Amino acid sequence: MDITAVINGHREQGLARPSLASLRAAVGYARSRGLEVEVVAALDCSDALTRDVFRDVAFDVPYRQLELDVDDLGEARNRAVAAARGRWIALLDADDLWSENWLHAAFAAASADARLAVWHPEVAVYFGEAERVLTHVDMDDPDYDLAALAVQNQWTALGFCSADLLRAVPYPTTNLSIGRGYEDWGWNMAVIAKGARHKVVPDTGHMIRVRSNSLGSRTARSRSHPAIPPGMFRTLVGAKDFGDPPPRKAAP
Amino acid sequence: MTAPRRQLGLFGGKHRPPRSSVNDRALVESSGLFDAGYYLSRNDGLNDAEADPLAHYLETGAISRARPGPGFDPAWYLDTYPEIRSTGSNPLVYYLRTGRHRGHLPLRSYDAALVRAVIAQQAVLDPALAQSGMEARVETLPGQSSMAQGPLHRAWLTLLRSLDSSPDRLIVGEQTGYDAARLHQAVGPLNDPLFPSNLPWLFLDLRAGGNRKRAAVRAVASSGREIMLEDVDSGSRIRLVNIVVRSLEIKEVVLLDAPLPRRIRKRYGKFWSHDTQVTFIRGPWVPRAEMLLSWLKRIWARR
Repeated sequence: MDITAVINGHREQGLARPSLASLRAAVGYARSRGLEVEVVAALDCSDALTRDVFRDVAFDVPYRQLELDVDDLGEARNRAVAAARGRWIALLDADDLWSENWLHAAFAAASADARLAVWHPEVAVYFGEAERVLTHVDMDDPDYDLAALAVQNQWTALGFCSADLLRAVPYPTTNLSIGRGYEDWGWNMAVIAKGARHKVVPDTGHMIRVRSNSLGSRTARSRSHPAIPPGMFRTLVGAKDFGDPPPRKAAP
Repeated sequence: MTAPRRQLGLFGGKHRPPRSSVNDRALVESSGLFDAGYYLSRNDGLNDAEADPLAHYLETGAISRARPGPGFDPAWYLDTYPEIRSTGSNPLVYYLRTGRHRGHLPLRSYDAALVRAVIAQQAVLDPALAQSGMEARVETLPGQSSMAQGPLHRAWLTLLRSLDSSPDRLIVGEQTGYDAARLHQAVGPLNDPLFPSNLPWLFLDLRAGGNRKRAAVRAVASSGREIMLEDVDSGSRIRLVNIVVRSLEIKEVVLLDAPLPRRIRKRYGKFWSHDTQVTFIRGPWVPRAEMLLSWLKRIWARR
């Protein structure tokens, strides 16, 4: 199996229909170009309407649905990853949309680069309650600046990477009551600490739906922050060039 | 009665431009965003013989939204940040003086054709997106690089580059006015290797600077190095303290009694307390050096 496309659902209800349709389109596009793809849907503490939407969709590739009650997006992704059979995993949230070429283009880019990496679309178009275009930065860009990752997240959660990387670095959980949030930001830092790079797949785009009651919006209001891998920024003190992550310590 | 100096021709006659224009010219010239060759090539009414293309741009071109160079797109800039129109400012001058400090981009940062294609493709699947008409607004959607920009980003990078060692302790005060010498008179004895828990510290003095947008942070490290972080806007000073505590894995924070440290304690104190020892010291805004030393000794000696 080349790719497991993971879609995480919660209580998106009708908003999940276009997401599932974009997933179907991307899966069909990749499959028509010779890739073997499966779909894993992880429904976490979902409601009846959302489950109905997922029941209505039909895929012409292997499809499995996990019913979870962990009530945590990061942990739900981890459960889906544990169930995945693909060498590569692509993540989608059930209110967002992938461009049709996403799976195929990300697979081609990832397969051509031997380095440990997480692949992101060139642009993420935010729509709904706010509109903007986020251009993802590539860590191979000469202007890339690792220190800036302390100030804001640099990549959305809808990445494409090897299943092994996601199993080695599981998603962190969220607990806004103790100020621990932004599971995607935390994971993006954790994989860098593991030695991976964040890369961009040219000519690809995702659409991210902005909702005032989304987890991201609630996290921002709570002033929470992700866990930072030990030494990630301390080791940059006094450095003149922040382009590369600090060298990893040799394993004992 | 003394004649006005302008009438006497002391400034070179009546054609001398006002001071703000002179400053605008220097600002634009030094920015690298005005390219005379590019400007001449796109303005048919001008030619190489034109004495001063930059003067032409400042006096005429900016009003007609002419592009000063490939690095700045005034039409996109004004459409993306429409609040600037009401100021009547030259958009390039506004960008250089204000916009870039607020994280504005000088031109569209994304490939509009790609974004249009993605939206068009998904609008077929999502009725709400189709109804939003977003596809028609592609040229003027606000753009942003995922790499942080703006005053907070600059202040953080400057601090990180300027420090010579990673601090374990942080002292935060407001408008204390301590200079490095006075601070070292106060806290210097704690650098003594014989002090029971001698760890590198960093002092952050949050300063208002008169204009809320021109606030600053003065950092003094235990090595004696003094770092001035200019133009850190009001809210960014508080966020900078949070980033320093979390990203530099500060073990102990001491907040000196003042409005901003109080806000910092209220906003972040409960979150820091899981990994960081937070102490709030009640007392005067600007404690005397001996008093500060006495407090810090009491707090840190028992660790």
